[in-house]
Amino acid sequence: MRDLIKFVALFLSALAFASVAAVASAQASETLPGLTLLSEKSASKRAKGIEQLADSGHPSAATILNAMAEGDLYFRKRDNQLFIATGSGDAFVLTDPVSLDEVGTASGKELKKVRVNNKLRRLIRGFLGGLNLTHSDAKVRLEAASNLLKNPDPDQRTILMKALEKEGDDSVVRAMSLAIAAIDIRPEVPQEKRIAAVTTLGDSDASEVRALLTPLTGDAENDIEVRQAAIIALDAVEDRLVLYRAIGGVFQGISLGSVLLLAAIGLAITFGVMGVINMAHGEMVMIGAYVTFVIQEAFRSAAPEYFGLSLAVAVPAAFLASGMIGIGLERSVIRWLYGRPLETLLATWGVSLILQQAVRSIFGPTNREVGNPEWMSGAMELAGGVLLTYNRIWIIVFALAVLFGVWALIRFTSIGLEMRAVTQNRRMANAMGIRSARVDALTFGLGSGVAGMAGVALSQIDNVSPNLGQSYIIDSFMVVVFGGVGNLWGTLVGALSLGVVNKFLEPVSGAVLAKIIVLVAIILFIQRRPRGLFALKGRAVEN
Amino acid sequence: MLSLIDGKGRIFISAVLVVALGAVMLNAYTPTGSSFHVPDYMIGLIGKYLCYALLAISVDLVWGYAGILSLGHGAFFALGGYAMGMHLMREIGDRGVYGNPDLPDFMVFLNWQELPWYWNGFDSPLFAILMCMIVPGALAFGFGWFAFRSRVTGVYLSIITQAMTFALMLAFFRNDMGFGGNNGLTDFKDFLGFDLQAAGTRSALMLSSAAALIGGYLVCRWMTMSKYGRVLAAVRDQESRTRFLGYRPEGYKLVAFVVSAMIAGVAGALFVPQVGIINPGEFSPANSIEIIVWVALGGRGTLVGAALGAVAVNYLKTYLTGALPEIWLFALGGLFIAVTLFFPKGIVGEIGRFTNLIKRFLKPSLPSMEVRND
Amino acid sequence: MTNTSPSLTNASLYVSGVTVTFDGFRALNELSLFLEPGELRAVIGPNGAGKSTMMDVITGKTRPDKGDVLLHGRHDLTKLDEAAIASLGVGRKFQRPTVFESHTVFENMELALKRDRRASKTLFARLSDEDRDRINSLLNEISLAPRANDIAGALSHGQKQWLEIGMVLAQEPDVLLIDEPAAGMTDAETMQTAEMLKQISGGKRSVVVVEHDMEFVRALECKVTALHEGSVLAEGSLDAVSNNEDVIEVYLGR
Repeated sequence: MRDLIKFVALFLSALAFASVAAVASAQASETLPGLTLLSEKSASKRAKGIEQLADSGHPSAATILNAMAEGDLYFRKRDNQLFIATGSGDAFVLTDPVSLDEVGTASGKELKKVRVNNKLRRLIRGFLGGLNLTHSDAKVRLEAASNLLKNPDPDQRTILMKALEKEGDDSVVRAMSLAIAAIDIRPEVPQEKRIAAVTTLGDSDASEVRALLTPLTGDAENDIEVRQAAIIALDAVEDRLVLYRAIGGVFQGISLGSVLLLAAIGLAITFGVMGVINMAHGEMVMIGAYVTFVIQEAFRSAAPEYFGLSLAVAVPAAFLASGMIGIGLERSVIRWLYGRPLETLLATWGVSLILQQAVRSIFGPTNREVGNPEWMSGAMELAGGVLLTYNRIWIIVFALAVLFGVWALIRFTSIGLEMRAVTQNRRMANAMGIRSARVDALTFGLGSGVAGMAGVALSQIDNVSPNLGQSYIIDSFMVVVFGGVGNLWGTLVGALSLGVVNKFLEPVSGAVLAKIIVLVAIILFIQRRPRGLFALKGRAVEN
Repeated sequence: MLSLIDGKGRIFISAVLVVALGAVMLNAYTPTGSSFHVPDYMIGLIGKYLCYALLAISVDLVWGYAGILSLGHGAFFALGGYAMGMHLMREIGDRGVYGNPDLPDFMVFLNWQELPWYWNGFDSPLFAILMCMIVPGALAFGFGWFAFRSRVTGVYLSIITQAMTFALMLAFFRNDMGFGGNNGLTDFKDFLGFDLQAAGTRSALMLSSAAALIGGYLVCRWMTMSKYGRVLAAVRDQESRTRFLGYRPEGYKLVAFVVSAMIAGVAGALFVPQVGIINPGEFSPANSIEIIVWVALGGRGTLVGAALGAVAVNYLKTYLTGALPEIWLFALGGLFIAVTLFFPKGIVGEIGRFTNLIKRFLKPSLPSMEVRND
Repeated sequence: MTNTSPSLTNASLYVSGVTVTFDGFRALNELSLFLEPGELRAVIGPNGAGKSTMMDVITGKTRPDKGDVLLHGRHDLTKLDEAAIASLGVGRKFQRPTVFESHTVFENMELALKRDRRASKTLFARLSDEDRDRINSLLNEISLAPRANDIAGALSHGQKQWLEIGMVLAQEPDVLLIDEPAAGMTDAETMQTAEMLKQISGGKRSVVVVEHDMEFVRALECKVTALHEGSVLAEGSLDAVSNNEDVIEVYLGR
């Protein structure tokens, strides 16, 4: 609220500066009822002034009252003229309270602050609430109504009712009805009205409702019917709250699952399709995150106004960077080790150590700052205080898009066809003229590139440090193994179910223990079904 | 049929004895400052290397002979270390910072009122030493029983062993586990009444490590030279074939896995009093996988090679992390790649191939080997 | 289809109504097969007829969806694992010779020798003179005595086949399953192998031989079962089977 007014004031002062700067002596153009009373010595007169001002319903009244509450309202000693003034010492910028135009400057000596005590402040706030209830901006009205729900004030009931009659916006109507109900549950109100108010509150998901209803369910409430209605209403509210928490938990779980999914898709390609255990997979993710960092730095220094686009550039760049490193890795190390998975595991571990140390040497061992572009920051509130942050939502969307892209690539493109051919029968594929060495390199490059894209997403929610990849590698292996090797849908189901289970365990057992429980559960699961959830069956996999 | 101690074994045992006894002698009987003098810290360092060598041998037993690439052996080592550490904590008694006669410092710090039940018994050194073997052995038994019976093999097994040690690491980092959380167990005073800082105690611990190394080597050697060892190698090479011959590979692997875990536990138990600390970092997957490169470098399936590799890599580590810390991870990473790509048989294997070549060269009349066609 | 219906207790191997499905594909379809004690039987059939799956079911590698497999009318093989079935006296030789290549020929035989298979026993096992003699005589039988101390990986393909047959013999089985023993052998080796198998059976052991090579099957001089699409197409003497119209159609027709 305060920011908004400051912003308005600044904006207007900037506008007015050019035209009015020449005016040497400021002159008020118009007066409002009660305005002159504000500079009176007696507090009761000032209170009367506030009342008259508020009742006038003038568009500037809210601004004046606000300024007064904030201590920005002054009168000039020589003529008792009122101004909204900002600044300090010798340089106060004066704003006419009625026209809200900037009318000149004055030194501190010429001005005297309009005094406010707590009682006046309360009075102002009450009137402000009422004024804001009829404000032209629906957002302001909504906020005013919500404020009244938080601090129900019987004095505002009439204003609320009046505002409600004129109100056209649905969400504001709801908020106002709630605010009225919050006032109507007081013991002084007749029983019928109270019960109706309790029912209204019981239908709402606002977070204040529980605090309002709870006192009515106890012994302190003398009216038994009201008490019963309150108990029923509170039960309904709490039931819904459990539901919302569950939804929130599912969202958190899906969010974690989508992160796991992103980290695991690349692995599902290199491990699932090619049978290569790439322990440096986590480092491909880490490199993707550092590519994001580098690109954001470039944007910051060269074109800060396009910073919002940095991620759009980082995704393909990370794909290419990690993909190229992956192809280099495949051509130089892995291709000599096909058919020897354990050796591959060791050699790629060596590669991961080298990549980690290389990044540490170049960028330093500490975390690097990667920013969220504006369209990814903030959150949207589901009912009942469940927050869905935009970066998490985007990552879920991104993960599914990547999964779909990879699936489509493997399913529909000719390189995908060649990949499938080589995995199923390398010799036959060779005989048909497919250059399997090239396909191997490209497949591995694809897996690594996808890992790089995962790094872009992870940079938005995790610390970008040389150890970034290490924290995901075991989890992603778990996802691939759990979901069933060589099956992208298995990876999807595996990632999401691990994410959701993890998030549901966390409140019960704590984050670390949840992780341990999940790990142990997977270890036991793999021993039950060594080929994972979506195992291929039949003779093809016997050996 | 090969005897228990072959040429390689003789060289190995002699070398361990000469180094261990020699270092102790030079430490005790040469004046400080003499160029022959072995300083106290060096005794501790040798002791540490000997423990690593024993750990490497235990890994070689399962990897080299049973084909189980365990990426979680650090867990058994650490469990042995914790068992010993718990006894050393008990032996501190009321000499801790808080002077509490019943509780270790970290429990006082966490406001614990009484000793958790699983700390009972660790006052006795004998109990602790038994636990150094029983706890890792029991974990290996439980884990292996499930894993081998379900026929989890190859990389899947490797990955879940890694997950096992990862889960344990997370668990031991927790304060409410009662193992000192992040900081682990440290500030030990003495063992069996001997001051751990004293040169004599250090020498005795180092000699015990040497003895344990030789003992562990002989146990592994005996196992691998028996018919059991030949079945185990058959399981490693052709697991399904052994089933059709009537063997149950799971039992064979389980025996090797449990024995190996117990040996690793002993190595950990000897390691802790010599370095003076045990913390959850020992469970980290990176530690476990590093053991694999010791074995791979020295020569998988040779036992002696594993020990040699452990000493070589750790010497390199001590040197590089001191002199050129940036280089160490590059060197270790390069080692992983170089060994798998260029020296899959490791140092001992390559030496063996080289001596065979020389023998062939010296005796050209030897009937040539038949060409393998498979 | 079958023209024999021996009593349950009489058959050394009794396979009845066995069905195995892989992802909707019926590898075996109501397969039935009875083997008399001491009988030598050849099983023929085109690729995918279910010969290998049949062996997998008998040796416990694959569990059938339904059907019975009984050994000596007493042991239900569908409930046992590979090791238990092998210990009951069912030996198997694979199509591709699978011997332990890093062991010597002698050690391969030692591992196959019928002794206590438990890990705890093998730790303390010592090779008796009796065992040594038995191995040596078996090595003589399969003509590998001179190579006893060579690494098995260094043997030729045919020698590996023989070594594997020797290993199966060392198990002292009552029932032998032999998958394409003549594959990749020279003509002389093929005939030698046929003789070897006839001797091995010799009325003492039941032997099932899966084979493609008709000359080899003829040399075995035994009852023949023809499989097709997972069930028995015809059974009888080689001449009877090869004149069977169904068989001709499957092999030559369409």
